[in-house]
Amino acid sequence: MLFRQVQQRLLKVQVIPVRTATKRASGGNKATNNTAGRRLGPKKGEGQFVQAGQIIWRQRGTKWYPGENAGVGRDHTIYAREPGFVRYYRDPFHAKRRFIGVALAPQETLPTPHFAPRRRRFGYKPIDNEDVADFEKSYLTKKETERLLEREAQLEDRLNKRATLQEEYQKALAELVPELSEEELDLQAVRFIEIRKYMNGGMAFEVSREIVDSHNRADLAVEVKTGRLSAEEADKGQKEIDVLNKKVDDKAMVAMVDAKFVVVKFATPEQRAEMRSELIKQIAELTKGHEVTPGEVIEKVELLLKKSVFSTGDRVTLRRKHLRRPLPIPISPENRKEFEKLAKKGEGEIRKVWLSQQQTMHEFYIPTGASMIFN
Amino acid sequence: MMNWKQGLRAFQAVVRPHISAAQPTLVRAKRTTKLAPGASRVINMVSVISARKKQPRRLKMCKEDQVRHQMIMAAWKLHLRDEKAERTNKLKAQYEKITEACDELQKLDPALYEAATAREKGKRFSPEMRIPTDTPPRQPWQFDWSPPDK
Amino acid sequence: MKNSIVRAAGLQIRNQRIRDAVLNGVPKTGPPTLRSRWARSRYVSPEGINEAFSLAKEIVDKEAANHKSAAGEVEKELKSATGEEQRAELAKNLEHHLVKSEFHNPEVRFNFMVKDSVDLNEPIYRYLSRTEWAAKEMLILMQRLEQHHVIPDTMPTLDPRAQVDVQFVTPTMSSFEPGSFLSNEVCERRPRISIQEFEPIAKDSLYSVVIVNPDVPDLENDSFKTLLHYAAVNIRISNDAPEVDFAQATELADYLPPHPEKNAPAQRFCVWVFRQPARVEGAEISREGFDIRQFAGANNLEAVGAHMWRVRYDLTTDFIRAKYGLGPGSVYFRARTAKPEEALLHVRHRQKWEKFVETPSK
Repeated sequence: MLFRQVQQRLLKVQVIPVRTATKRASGGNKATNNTAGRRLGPKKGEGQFVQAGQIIWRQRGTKWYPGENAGVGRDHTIYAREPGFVRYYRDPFHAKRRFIGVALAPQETLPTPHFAPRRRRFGYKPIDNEDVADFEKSYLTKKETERLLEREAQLEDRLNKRATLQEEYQKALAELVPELSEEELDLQAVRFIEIRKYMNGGMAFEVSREIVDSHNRADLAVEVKTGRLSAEEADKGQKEIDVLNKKVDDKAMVAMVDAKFVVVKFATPEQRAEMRSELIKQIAELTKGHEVTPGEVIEKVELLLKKSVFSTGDRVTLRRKHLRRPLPIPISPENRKEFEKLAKKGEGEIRKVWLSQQQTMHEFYIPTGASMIFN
Repeated sequence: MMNWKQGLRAFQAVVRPHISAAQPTLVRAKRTTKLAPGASRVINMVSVISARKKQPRRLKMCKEDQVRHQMIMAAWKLHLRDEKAERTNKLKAQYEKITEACDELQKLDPALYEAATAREKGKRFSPEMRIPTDTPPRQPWQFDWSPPDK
Repeated sequence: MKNSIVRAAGLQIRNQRIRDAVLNGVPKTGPPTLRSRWARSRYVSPEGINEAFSLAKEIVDKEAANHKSAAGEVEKELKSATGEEQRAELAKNLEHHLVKSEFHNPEVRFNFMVKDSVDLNEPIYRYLSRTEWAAKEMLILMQRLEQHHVIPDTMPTLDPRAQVDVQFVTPTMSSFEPGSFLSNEVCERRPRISIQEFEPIAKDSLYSVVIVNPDVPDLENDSFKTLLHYAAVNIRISNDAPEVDFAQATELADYLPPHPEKNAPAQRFCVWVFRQPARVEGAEISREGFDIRQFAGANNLEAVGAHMWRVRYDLTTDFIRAKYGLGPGSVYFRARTAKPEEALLHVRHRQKWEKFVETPSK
């Protein structure tokens, strides 16, 4: 009984199908020597005329290299890049290579001497049909179209901004130079906006003004050169502009106030330097003698700092130099209670600070508006 | 094949048994960190890739110290150059003196000169010198060795 | 051994506090070059740098003194020398010793690092500037000139010796890498050019600047011709005054803005800078078919620097064309194929490069 059971089990096991390898995993290939010829070799001979793209030589590997006006394909096929006459040649610069090139003229020899200018085919023809030409001209690449659309979207905003700026400048100029007519004001506002553009790039007022005026002068010269304006007219116009510019330049200039370029009263660089030192003196006078600068003095100093003779950097350094802010006070067991009271009132706060030089943590009472100097 | 860590352990077991006694040697897949093996592998890979590991840590110096540092390095180079020049000159002088002495000797006593400058054939730095090995022979140097006659 | 060698006052660091820090070590208040107080208070100098510095200074000063005395001797020799070649050799030697005498001067290195009071009349600053330029900008320039075939399409080759910088007058006034594509609007007006010489040159030496465009379509020959866009001679340049003052120069051709045509290949604008042996007077040129090699040869000009930019037809081209009265310009289409007869046109064109073809000797 037991034997039969065992036998059955064994049989069952034997029934499970086993897949063996029926495909040969490796071994020789019998059909190596019977492939058809690949039709390699020359397709065009020396001096033969080829069009661009025509195949000159088929090969395995670079038995021949592409020379002038010839290219090499993915399978190393040599083809013509320009229409011309096939040349097989050697180049002293690559002594071990053989080249196939395309000469543009029947008499031409290759290679071109090393230091001589290349011989190049233009390979383009003008479109004679005007409509077709116009259509082609209006065609824009995807990138250009995107940029154009972007610009158009911004256009209204930019025009509005410019209009407000123009109005602003016109108003300021009218105040500083009251004798200007409406038209002259308009012209000068445009000129000042142009000057502002260069100042925005980081140039000084005088430099920007010189650039703008020289560009205007050059533009007038172009008008004469192209015949749109006679020399006398241009001369007369230039003189008028010069007079007008002189009138305005003595009285107005562009300067930065509160991170914005505005039209202010004119001053030469020397005058500005003088004004600056005068104002610094005033600030020093105002802030003298205070252990901690009181609020009303700070307000006065800030008003002086708004003047256009100061740069943003100036303002920071002057504030740092002259305005004495309250200093943080180290907390000890004796004064702790007093400062905790003040902190509760909201006049300051108590904070733990890492002192790098002493390499310790220490508690400080920091009054509001204090300068954070601990060492 | 042992990996380098296993190799190190084996080496330590020989050289510093008091250390390796505490650590089991040649134990496979014994965790040495608390990190999961996958995580530690990733950390290992990333740290190998990172550029920081491939170069020495940059000295962070202010401009003044940069310039001072540059000058110190330049001076060290100059010093090495001078030292080398001095040594070369000394050797050159020594060599010239030897040549001079030999010339003198040749004039005085050609026989002595011949004996002094005779080439000692085959007496070069021993080409049979052994490579350092874990199991050196009992007699490392054969003092009475002479080159075989050809 | 403090201040064992007398250094020129012009090579000193201007800021006295920084100078002290460089020569005598960073003070307790921290390095003066660090701007924020926080960073200054945190800064720690490398250990032992002060001791090493004072030792190093002795070595460096000794080296400098040796070169200085050598320079003095060469100078004496130079005064008595007569031969042209000998003088050139001695001048080169003198420059070498003058450079080496300040080579490790920490003050010079600092000034050059922060680009403050760098006087290009000093040999050491010229050397350092040249080295910096040759490590990057010069390589880029040469690569671009070769890649875009400016050499040999315009001049045969270039041995770059002067740094040429071109800036168009725009609000940002930024320089550009050679070979960049620029908008037609940007290059409407003549650019500002600076020519920085690194070799010692006489004050107000004479230079020429030529801007050519070798990519103007030549429909007759189905090829390209060269158009002169700008030429000025007798420009005065000094080592410490590299900016070209066009008002002082003789303008042979005023600036013509680039005006490429639609669908034609990009045009290269090649700026060539030449050294002049003498003043150039009455040079005759024509814009169309300008031959820059002939111009340089006839006036004995030696190319020392170059620059280039490229333009394509863009949205601003028509505006420029209208403003300067340059006509509407053609619109092209690619003609890939040609007839054999058309290729014969090149026979005429051939005369241009015939002189470069070597005749094989029998």
